[in-house]
Amino acid sequence: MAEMDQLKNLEKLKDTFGNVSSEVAKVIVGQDEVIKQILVAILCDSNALLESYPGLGKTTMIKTLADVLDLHFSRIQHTPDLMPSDITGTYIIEESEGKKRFVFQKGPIFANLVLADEINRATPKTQAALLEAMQEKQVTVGSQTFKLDSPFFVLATQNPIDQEGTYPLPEAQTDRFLLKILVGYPSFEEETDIINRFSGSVETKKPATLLGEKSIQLLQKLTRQVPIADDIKRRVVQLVQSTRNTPELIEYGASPRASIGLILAAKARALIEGRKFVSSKDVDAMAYPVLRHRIMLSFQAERQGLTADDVITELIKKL
Amino acid sequence: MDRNSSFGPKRLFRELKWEVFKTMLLNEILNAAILFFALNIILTVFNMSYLYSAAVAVLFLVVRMTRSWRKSTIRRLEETNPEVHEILRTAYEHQSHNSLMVQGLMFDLQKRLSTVSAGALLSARRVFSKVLVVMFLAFTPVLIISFTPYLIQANPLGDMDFGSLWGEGGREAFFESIGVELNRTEANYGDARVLDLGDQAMDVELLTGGNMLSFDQTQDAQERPRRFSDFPFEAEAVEAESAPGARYDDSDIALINRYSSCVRGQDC
Repeated sequence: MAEMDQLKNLEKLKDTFGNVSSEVAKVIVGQDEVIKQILVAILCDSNALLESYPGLGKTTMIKTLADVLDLHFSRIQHTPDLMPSDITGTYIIEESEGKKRFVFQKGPIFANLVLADEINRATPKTQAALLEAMQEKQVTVGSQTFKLDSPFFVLATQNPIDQEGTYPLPEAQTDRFLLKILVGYPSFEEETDIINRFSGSVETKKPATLLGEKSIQLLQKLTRQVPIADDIKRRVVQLVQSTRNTPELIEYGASPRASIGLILAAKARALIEGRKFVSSKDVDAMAYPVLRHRIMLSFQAERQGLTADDVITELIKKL
Repeated sequence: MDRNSSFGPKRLFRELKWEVFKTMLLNEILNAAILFFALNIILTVFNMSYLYSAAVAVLFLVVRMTRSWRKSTIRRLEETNPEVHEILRTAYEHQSHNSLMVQGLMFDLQKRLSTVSAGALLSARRVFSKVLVVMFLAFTPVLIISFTPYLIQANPLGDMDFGSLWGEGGREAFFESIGVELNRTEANYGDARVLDLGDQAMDVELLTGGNMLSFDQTQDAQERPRRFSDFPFEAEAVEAESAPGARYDDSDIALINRYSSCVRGQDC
């Protein structure tokens, strides 16, 4: 009987994710695919890199998502003078009962959902501190190690223009982001809706809180349990290997970490879509955000004006 | 499939296998029937026994069923249900797993396949077409026989002396000449064995119904005690065909009788 109840709850999963999107949509207009991809990163217990032009509502979107998911949110605005300790925290002298002692003051990294705004403006040292925390899910200050909150996600943003004075993330570090999500411009109707919503006197509706830390952890476990057929796995490996075997288009291909990431992302997408198995459509859809920051285009491809997404499309067609 | 059955993966696939087996059997029986009737047409032209085509059709059925059954059930189900290809493939490969998601998958699969039966797995159009072909082929030999006065008697096994199997003398002549013999005698006048009836006496009893004949009194002439009236009916016949009033002498009748006895190989 309990088993049947669990199965019935599984049936409601699609509605749950639909409700999350609906709540986020109370604040954010459009960007459904971006929200879905952020949810994929969260379900995979991984991090995502959002790239877009300024003013597209990335920060608002992530803040809203944190509210809906009932996660502790913090934002780190990266600047060239940002120090690692500004992220991780530092020891401060605290005086109590006439005695002075060092007390660790937690930095903004101690949150469930961290928005690392304009990560490419921070120095490599600070970037490295953040990326280490992302990877290890812990920070070490002095001789002490502090575990980060669980669940823990970093959603970093970067601006594709205005590259002067920035420190582009090296490939080894971008590889640690499961997804690179491109936030596009809204359509005409969406933009009209945005100006109506935010330039008037009527306050936007407050989104309801759904899920929570425990629920998210449970969903993360379920994501890994989503069964995947062997031929879909083979498709993933073929796709990732083809990024290494296409020298005319790609100079450096994706690593096996990309294969793992693609399978996980496909599983998460299947769960969000309400399926209990991974479809080749999931693989194809997630191939773009998983691979686009893991491949380096060849000179020929760039000369032809191809983007990473164009090349991935070609590779998928060849499968 | 049974809607109320447990969604245990193994049971689910066992039921699926049974449905697939039924589908396969029907399909292959239709294929074998088409083969049987098609071969039978050829054999009819060559006036050969239908048992040859029956043997080939049975062999075909057995081989096809064996080969088809070896092909995995999942592949066959995928072919017949392409829309559930991925869920079937995943479920089949994870039937030994017991996680909540796999159970959910099986639950989903059971719901999706609840409408799958042998009938649903079959393409009704294809089955209907095959049945039509079978019907056409079944009636074709009748048409061939009715429109073909000369049936070919052939030994399909070439120089090997299997002609004796049919027990007809004309077949040797066939091989000696052009390879095909047109047996006018049998085609036009029926089986040669009918000629043997000429040696049998037959008492035909006309019943009061007028149109009813009784052949119950048929008896082999040799088994019946000879009577004078049996021989020489030829003399009587000659007498009857002669001019009215013409009578033969007793000596002529005796001569005719003796001649008749000689013809029949009796004492003369």
